Amino acid sequence: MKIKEPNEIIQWSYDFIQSFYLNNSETQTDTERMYAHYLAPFAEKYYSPLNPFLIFGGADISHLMKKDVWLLRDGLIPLSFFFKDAPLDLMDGQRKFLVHKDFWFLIPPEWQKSVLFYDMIPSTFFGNGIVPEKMVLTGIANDTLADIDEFVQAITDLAAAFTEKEIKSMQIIAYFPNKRADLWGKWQDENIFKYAKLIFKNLKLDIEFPEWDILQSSMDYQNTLYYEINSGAIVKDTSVQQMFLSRGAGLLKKKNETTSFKMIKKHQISLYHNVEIYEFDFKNSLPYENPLKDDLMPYFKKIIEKGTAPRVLSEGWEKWYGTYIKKYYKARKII
Amino acid sequence: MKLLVIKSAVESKWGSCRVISPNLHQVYTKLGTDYDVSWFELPEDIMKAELKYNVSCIAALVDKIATLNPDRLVFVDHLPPPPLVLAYLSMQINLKKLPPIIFHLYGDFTYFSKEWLYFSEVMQGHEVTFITASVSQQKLVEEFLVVKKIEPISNIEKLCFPVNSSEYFFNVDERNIFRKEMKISENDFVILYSGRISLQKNVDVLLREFLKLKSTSRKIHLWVVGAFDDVGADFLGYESYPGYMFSKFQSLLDDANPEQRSRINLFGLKDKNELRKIKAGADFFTSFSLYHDEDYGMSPAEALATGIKCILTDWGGYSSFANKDKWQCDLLSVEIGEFGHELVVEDFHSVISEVSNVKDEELDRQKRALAFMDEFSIDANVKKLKDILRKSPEKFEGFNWKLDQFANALNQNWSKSKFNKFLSPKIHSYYFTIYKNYISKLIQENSHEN
Repeated sequence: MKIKEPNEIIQWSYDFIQSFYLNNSETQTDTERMYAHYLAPFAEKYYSPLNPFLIFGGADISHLMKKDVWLLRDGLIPLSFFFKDAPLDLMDGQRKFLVHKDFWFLIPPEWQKSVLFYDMIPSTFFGNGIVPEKMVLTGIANDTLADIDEFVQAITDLAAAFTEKEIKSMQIIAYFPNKRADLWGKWQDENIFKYAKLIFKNLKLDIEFPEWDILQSSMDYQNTLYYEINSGAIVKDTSVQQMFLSRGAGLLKKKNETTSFKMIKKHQISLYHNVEIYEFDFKNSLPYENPLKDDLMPYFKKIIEKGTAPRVLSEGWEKWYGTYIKKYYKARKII
Repeated sequence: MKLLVIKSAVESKWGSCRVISPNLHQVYTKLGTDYDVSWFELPEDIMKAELKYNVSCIAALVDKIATLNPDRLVFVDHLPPPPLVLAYLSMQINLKKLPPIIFHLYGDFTYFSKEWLYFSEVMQGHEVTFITASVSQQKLVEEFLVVKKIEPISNIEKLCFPVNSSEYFFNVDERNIFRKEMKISENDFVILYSGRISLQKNVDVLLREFLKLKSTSRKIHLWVVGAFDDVGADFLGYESYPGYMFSKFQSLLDDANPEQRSRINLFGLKDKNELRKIKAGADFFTSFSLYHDEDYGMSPAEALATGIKCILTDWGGYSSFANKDKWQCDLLSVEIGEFGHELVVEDFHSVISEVSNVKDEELDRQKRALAFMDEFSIDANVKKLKDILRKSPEKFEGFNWKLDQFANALNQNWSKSKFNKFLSPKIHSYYFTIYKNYISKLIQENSHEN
């Protein structure tokens, strides 16, 4: 007698629990929510088995103990906080923290065995004669992702990658949500058209400025260059980049890749892009220097450690620290 | 007869509606000389637009209605939501003075339950015809209607979303060339899914069942065409995050052995020309979808237009395509049980072992394609629409308490994004009361009992 197979029971609730749990929503702090709001849509959550995580709102250490791999999406400033504050208990020999490869110099010697590096690699790169049909240009038009100098640099680099004729042939779409620049201090009125002028001057006048929901609704960004103007001070691995790359967009070909990285694994996270994971040769690189050793740091540390200035937006010390650390690394020509 | 057809000024954000709308518009343009069809375009983002802008475009619509004095007002697209347009219209015109109204209903009828409730309040007693694309959607909407008479409700008609015969057809040369490109031998058997790769579409379940298929004399392949999306099942309160579906799919692929992996192909998103070639190149189409607003199924319809054999879940509009004689479309049994939806996947295995053992002849495939298009093409639907337009519209008695409950449950979900027991799939629940109408086997049993 043939035994009837049981029916396949479909329970999407399991997916909900898994997706929800792995995205750590239950641990989201008020500060994290505030930052996420300022950085929306760039700092929104996305899913991958590498447990992408933003620590900028203050990481819950007990939560970080729960998994063996964390991909830290943060940029320069939250990472420097993290490697100063995080207890050494997190290094149990098995747990790995993946940090964007641009920030290899932030890893103190005691952490180096627990850190690997990552980069997002699309299936297509543009530049050097490979011209996309479309270009999506994005960022936040204030100091949050890139200050005006960084903006100028990024736009001129982009323009230099293509000829005038090539740029003319592309459909250019720009999306720059206007946010208050509270991350660097008290908000001031800002004439944001100076950013638009830079785009027009360096690229062309015929540029579309659609709303976010229009950009989000298209599932097809093949043959599209995604170009994000983001210095990486706050968030490096943005959800906007994830969205475009997972829908087929490519990136601009990088120059001057350092050879101290050795790729050890490639993990596909969408039909069109991978996360590459690297080891870094610390022995043959610049020695680590603590960015917080500057003479001004005792004052700064005192403020943080006393907890007299909670980590909320618009605090003077944050403005000072942000400027300080960016200038420090620029002076060292590391970024 | 004078018709004023209101359509959206921009393309829908939904891939299927981008196809449905122009095809449905063509049905109206082909109505012939007995019908004087005028069009009025409304911006989709009317909800977000400035009041001044709304006032001016609604005023233009009021003018158009007054000048034209149409016999019927037709809402042909799903956006902007028709009840919302009527709400704006009510500020400038007495709605009761409008001519009889025809609404083409889409799967998002339940999404806009709150707006339709408003419509119910203000339009009770007005002559209204709802047109759904399938019997299942018709039954689902009927569940929400007030019934005052013993006779069957005559406010609802059925007109499928037609397939454009110049876009989808079977061409044997396209099949041969594409299979050659894909290095698929004539003896190989290709199973195809095309559409969104989304949680409620259960493409991961299909992949799991594909990996369990027993070996036959023919090498069996799985082709998946479409973009991954992570809308989850937000309607039920199940939120998802970008990247989740791909990771879930990838983890199943990681478990496949290299030989199995070599027989699975993910194409990503393709345009309609490429899609037609892929459909021609495949031998069998399937979808395990249990999507909450699967009111029709444009992707299976376009596949059937290429004469492909298929098996679909007995869910929503998919049952419209079931036919074992003229074309071959079977249904996979679905139940709503104690723990959620249940799929009888055994049906899939037995159909595959049966179908893959029979070599499909080119002529048979052509015949099936033509037979399907005899009923589902744009031209076939022109005649059906004329039949609907000839009927005298009935007075609308309003929506019942069930729609009110639905709207309340849904609005709770939007604000909190958490489980909603009320809308969770389970037997003898509110969900069951509404969604039993999406299972043709249950509709048939019910009609026999009555």
